[in-house]
Amino acid sequence: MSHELIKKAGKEGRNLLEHEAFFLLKSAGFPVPAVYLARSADEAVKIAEEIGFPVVLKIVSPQIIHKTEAGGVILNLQDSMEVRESYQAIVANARQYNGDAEITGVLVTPMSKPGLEIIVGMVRNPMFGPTVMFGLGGIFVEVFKDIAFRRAPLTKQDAEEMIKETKGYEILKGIRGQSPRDLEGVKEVLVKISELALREEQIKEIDLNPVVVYEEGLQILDARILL
Amino acid sequence: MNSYKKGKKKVVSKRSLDHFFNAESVAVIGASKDPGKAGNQILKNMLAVGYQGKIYPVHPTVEKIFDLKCYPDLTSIPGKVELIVVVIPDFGVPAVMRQAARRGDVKAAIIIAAGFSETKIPERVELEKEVLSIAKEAGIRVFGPNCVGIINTVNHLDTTFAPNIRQSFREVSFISQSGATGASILMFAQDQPVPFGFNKWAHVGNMSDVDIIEILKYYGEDEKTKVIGMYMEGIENAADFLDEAGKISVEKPILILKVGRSEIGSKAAESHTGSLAGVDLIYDGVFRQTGITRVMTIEELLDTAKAFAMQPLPRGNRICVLTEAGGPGIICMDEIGLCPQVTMATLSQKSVAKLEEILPPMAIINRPSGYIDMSAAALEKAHREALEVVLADEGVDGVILITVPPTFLQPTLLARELVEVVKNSAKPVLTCLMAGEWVKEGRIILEENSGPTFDLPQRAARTMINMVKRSNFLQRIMEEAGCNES
Repeated sequence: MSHELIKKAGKEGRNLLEHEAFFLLKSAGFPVPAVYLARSADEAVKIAEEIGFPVVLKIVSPQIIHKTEAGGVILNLQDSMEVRESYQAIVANARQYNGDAEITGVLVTPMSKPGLEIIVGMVRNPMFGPTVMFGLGGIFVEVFKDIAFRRAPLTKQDAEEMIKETKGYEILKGIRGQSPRDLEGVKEVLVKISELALREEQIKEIDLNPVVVYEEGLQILDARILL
Repeated sequence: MNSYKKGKKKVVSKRSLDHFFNAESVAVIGASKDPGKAGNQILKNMLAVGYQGKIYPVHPTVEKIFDLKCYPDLTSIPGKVELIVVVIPDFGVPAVMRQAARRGDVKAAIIIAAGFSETKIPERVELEKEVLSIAKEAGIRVFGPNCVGIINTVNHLDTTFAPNIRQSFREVSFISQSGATGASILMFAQDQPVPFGFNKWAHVGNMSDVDIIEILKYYGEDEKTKVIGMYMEGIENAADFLDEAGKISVEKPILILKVGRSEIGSKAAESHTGSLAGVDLIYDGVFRQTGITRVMTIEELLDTAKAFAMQPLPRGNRICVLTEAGGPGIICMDEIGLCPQVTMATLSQKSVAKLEEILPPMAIINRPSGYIDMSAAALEKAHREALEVVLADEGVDGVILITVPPTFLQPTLLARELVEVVKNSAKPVLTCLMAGEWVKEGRIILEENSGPTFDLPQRAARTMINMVKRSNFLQRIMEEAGCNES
């Protein structure tokens, strides 16, 4: 039985919107921040006041995949006025980026503390079936291709071995006097994403980038789920 | 009820690939008197190795080849024909298959000829389909086309034209996606101090019917096969392959030389077989996950296969390097040091004291930990005694022994000192005797009676690393099974 959000998006022939992706991940037990969809500047301000500042705003539109490129993400908003202005700016940017883009709303979420960024992904590969990817964010993935793959289903041991396979493991363990990061949490996310891939066969690709890992706990800051 | 029936009437049914590997009769269609043709060499090979079944050469006009009666066509062979080897060119193959179908007794066909779907030319793709549909209807299984077929050293069946393959069979069976690489691995294996023959060998060609997965499964169930080796360029249904490999790797090691590691390498692999070369990083990860030992070179494949077949696995990852010469010892340590899964052993005080007694005064013992430079003054007996000490140490899971015998150290004497210790050890001992003709006799003594030998220290080290990784994998499987039970 696939999730109703996937059924709905499938029927409409589109990918999951970011707030839907977060909702799906949350219901599957992934560590996601509180996310709310605002459909007006007033609503965005109200939400921000409820969840507390600082907040982040992100555009939600089925046509806009690269949100940052479209000027659709504004971080670290400190008060109601900034939220109101940013809401309008984001919507205007999106319209300018793609005049035909249908704008569902703007996502409001608390600004996260900085931490170590990792990338977790799933690609349904025509040869291998669902494969799970792990890597450290930024240059580790882009330049050094410091990533590891496993096939779903993953055991905890698989998850541990794939983390250890990357050079990023040393950093997760804590270097130069830094405390170790929540390795267990990372393993859980890897196992869960493989389970989700097996359960929801319509999902072609999942991109959790970045996931911020703290000494205790971790949080998915950006999620893309493609059907 | 059923089980009673089964117990009463024991039917030894042949598994599908038995009609290939354990065929009792073979017809070679396209047999030839011309030594420049495959149809000649296949017969010559099969006679030379002493195939135990019946051989029927088929040629329209020739009466005898190598003293074997020749038949004008398949239909005129009076006896039973289980396997046909088709060496005639492409467009003649369907007619042969129809004859085989009419006979009714043919169960398997190896089609050597090229010029089918691998060319991607539509009419030739169709030709392969035609051959296959005739075979399917008649219940004939097909190997190839575009392949060199199979070897079984148990019954001495050999449909290849690889020269001089000695039939000294071991417990390693092999699958190749390349005929030439597969054959060169066979020949390279002959070129060991003690020639190393495979138990079974198969080149799959276009895999129109029998594919890698089915052969893997067959080897997995084959009692005579203890280790499976493979040369792989790419596989489309990788998920199915891995599912099957995962079941087997728990019991039998699977070693794969998977090429296409670089982008240019993988492009070459793609155009070579027309099959997907795939993403190397994914292969790397999923092989590890499945317990497949990935090797990078032909020599690593053979070295590791030999070690798996001849030596016990280490119980843990603590390795002792016992060397008679510093340089080669360091080369070995470098290789080990680069592998995070392997660590150097910690020797007990007792072992260190014993070694101090046994070895010459200039020996460097346990500095660094697990490393012993016995010095060039260590003679045959000292080698043996030192090996016994480190093997008895509970902190040691495996030993790499390296020697560059000087003129005053007799390699054969050394081998005789070591052979019983290596043979009776429950821990693996990989012996590196450097080098060349001077040590060859010694290596033969060791390989015939105990375990693999090496000419270069990094080869011994790579092999030990693969053994440790295999041991880790099995340990992990056991732990996981334990977790599920509790």
